Amino acid sequence: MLFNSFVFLVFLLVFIPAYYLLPKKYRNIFLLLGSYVFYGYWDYRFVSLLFLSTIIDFTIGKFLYQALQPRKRKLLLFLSISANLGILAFFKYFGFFVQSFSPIAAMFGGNLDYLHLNIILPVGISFYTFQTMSYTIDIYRNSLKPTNNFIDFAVFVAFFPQLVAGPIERAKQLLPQIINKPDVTKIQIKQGLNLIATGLFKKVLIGDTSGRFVDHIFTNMEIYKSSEILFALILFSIQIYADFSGYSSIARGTAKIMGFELMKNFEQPYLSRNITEFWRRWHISLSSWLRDYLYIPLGGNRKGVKRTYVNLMLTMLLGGLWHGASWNFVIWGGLHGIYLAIHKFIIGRKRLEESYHYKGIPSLAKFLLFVLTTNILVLITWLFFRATDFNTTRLFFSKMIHWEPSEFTYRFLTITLTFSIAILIFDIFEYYTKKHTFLLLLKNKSVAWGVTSGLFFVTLLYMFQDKPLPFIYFQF
Amino acid sequence: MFGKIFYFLLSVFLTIFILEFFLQYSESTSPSLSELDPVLGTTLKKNKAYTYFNEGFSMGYTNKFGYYGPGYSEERTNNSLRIALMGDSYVEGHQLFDRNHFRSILEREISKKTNKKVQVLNFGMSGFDLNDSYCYYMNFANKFKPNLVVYVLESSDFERYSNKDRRPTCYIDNDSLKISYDFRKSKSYNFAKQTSFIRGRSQVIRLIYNDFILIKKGAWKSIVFDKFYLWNGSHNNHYSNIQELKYDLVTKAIVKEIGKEQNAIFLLRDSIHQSIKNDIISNNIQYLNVNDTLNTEIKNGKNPHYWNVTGQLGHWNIDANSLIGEYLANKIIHNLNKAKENK
Repeated sequence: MLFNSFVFLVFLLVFIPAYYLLPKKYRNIFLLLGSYVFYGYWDYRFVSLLFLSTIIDFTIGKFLYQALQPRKRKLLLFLSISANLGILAFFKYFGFFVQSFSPIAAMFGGNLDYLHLNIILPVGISFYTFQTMSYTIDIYRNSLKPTNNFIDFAVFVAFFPQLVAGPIERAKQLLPQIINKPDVTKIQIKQGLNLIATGLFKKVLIGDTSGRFVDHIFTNMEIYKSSEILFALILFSIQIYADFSGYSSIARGTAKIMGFELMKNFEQPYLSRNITEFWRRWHISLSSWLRDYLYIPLGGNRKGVKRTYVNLMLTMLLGGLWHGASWNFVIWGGLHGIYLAIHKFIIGRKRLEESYHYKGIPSLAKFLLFVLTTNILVLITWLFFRATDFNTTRLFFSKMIHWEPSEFTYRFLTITLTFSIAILIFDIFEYYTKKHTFLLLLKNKSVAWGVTSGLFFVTLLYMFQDKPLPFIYFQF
Repeated sequence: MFGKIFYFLLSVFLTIFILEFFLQYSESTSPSLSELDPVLGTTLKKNKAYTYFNEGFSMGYTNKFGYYGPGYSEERTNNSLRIALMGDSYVEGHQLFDRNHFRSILEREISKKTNKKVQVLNFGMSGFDLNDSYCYYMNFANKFKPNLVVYVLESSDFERYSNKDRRPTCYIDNDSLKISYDFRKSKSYNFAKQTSFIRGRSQVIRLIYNDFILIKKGAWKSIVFDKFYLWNGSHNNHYSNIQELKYDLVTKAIVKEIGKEQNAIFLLRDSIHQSIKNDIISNNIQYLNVNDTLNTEIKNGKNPHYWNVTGQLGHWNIDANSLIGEYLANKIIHNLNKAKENK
């Protein structure tokens, strides 16, 4: 079920009141069933895969907690990671590896054609796999006690607001909430509804509408002029942010109206002054996951300068590959790794200021210059993220070198500026209030709800006549 | 309480007002391109920018004369070849940029191969049948003095089926073909005329209007309940059987008039009943069928109606437009050469 579809709103209208009305002891089983309905709406067959993943980690988690011998513990952890990564590798990367190794096999007279299986990628597999993996790793590290209740654990894996595209929650944060079945507060309902309305606006009216330009231009790049392609790339940077942050807001909002708190996934990344800050603000749940479960176990910055850079590169390359089975994603991750390494080299051990505070015009000019530089660097990487293959990337650079003027340059500029301003308005308010529900800070609550309702109303009008587009991160 | 309601409604209104600007400047919604004229009925606004997302994507302008493509004035230089394209949404081409439309390809190809100054004018309008195209030509396109008129048609266009509430229509009076402007009296025309100011300017109102139409059609059930409700849209299969076509006396007279007054080509999109085909040819109108060129695409496993970005079937895609432009250009060049030989 897509968050930006009417059927999801109908689902919520039926599910949420029923959830409130149920006695607490039945809430989790109801939540689990609802989550399976939500997930099975795409393809019911993949619910079994979700269930399998749940059983594996629940069982291993229990044994791991009871095991005292380090060897046995290591073996159980290895089993959990292998099972999770095995499922992920089969569904997500099998085709990619077969395709990548085919030329090598051909050099030795081999043929891997029989291995092309046309496997369908289950929605959100990377997200729930990482979430369940963190559960067993935390138990292994003795920082988490496993739950004995299978239903509670199954809800943790399948919790529908964040099941298919995160935020990737830690068991330490989400599981206690599931076990305690929190009562929803008035403020949570208000914040939740506000997050759903603003999230839908970002997804539907900014993400989807800018994305239509992007999709057409990137798919048939050869027929478009240079400036149109360049603007399409800028529009993609807006699309992916509006799409994913909009999704995350709806996810948090939906969880809130049931009394659950999910982590923030975005903190105005396009207002970052450097690439390190960008990664603290972009897809926070993934970058912190990679930091805690990959970068730090690899040694982080504790094993010398050279090793730090190697660890950074490895983390970012694998982070790129997490997004999709394509060399373009590897390059995307690699570029970010290089940026981060260079930035680390420049700043050394200096601590970065968390956010910008106005200290006069020169400081503002410096801030804007740094923000612009960071955005240009990030924009270059988005090309590799959006282009589906090397040919598209090559064509993009060729069109940039052999510049063809377009009669629509001014119009594309206006369109891009309009989308940029729209997303920037949200970001600026969120940046200064440090709240995604900044509207609710207004003293006059009627104005806050008037604006929220206006946004929601126009979004619904648009949604009604346009087929809902899936979220970009669903494919990961 | 009153104050709260006032502030609430005021902020709703102001938010919608700001979003109106957002929708317009981001070109997120398709603008209203049509306006009502007492002679032409539904016609195009002049100098209007548009962006359309459907099975394809188009961005462009109507020119200062009120048709698509470069704005060639009513005056034509003697040595130039001017072609008028008449027809429905296939000619209008809201699925692709003008540079990929068969209009541009036709213009480019003939210019390249003949060194002639060629001007192709696109008078296509969505939903036009032969009757509409003929009236539009007589009332508007002929002012631009084309040397050649290409009517892009399908078999159903020979039956006057489209709604004439907002368009002129032909009739026969004392054995001669005349155009009626009775549409000016229709409720639909007058209502549309009275509300066009607001519908034509506000994107939010257009969204409300379009949603209202969808609700009226009953499509809301499938939109809201999705897989839980399989909506069977009303597909117009009325013209699937060409034998059943009502090729009435008025349309017959239109064909006769076109043959007499214009240097015309009928470019057909589908098969046509032999009797109509014979009638076209007997009236000295050149008959062409796009299937002659599109079939090679189909044989190569390509569907000329398939749009790869949206995965939808619809109007001719970019490749098909290119093929049709080249095909038509070759046919016209052939005609020009033949005419030269005859001289």
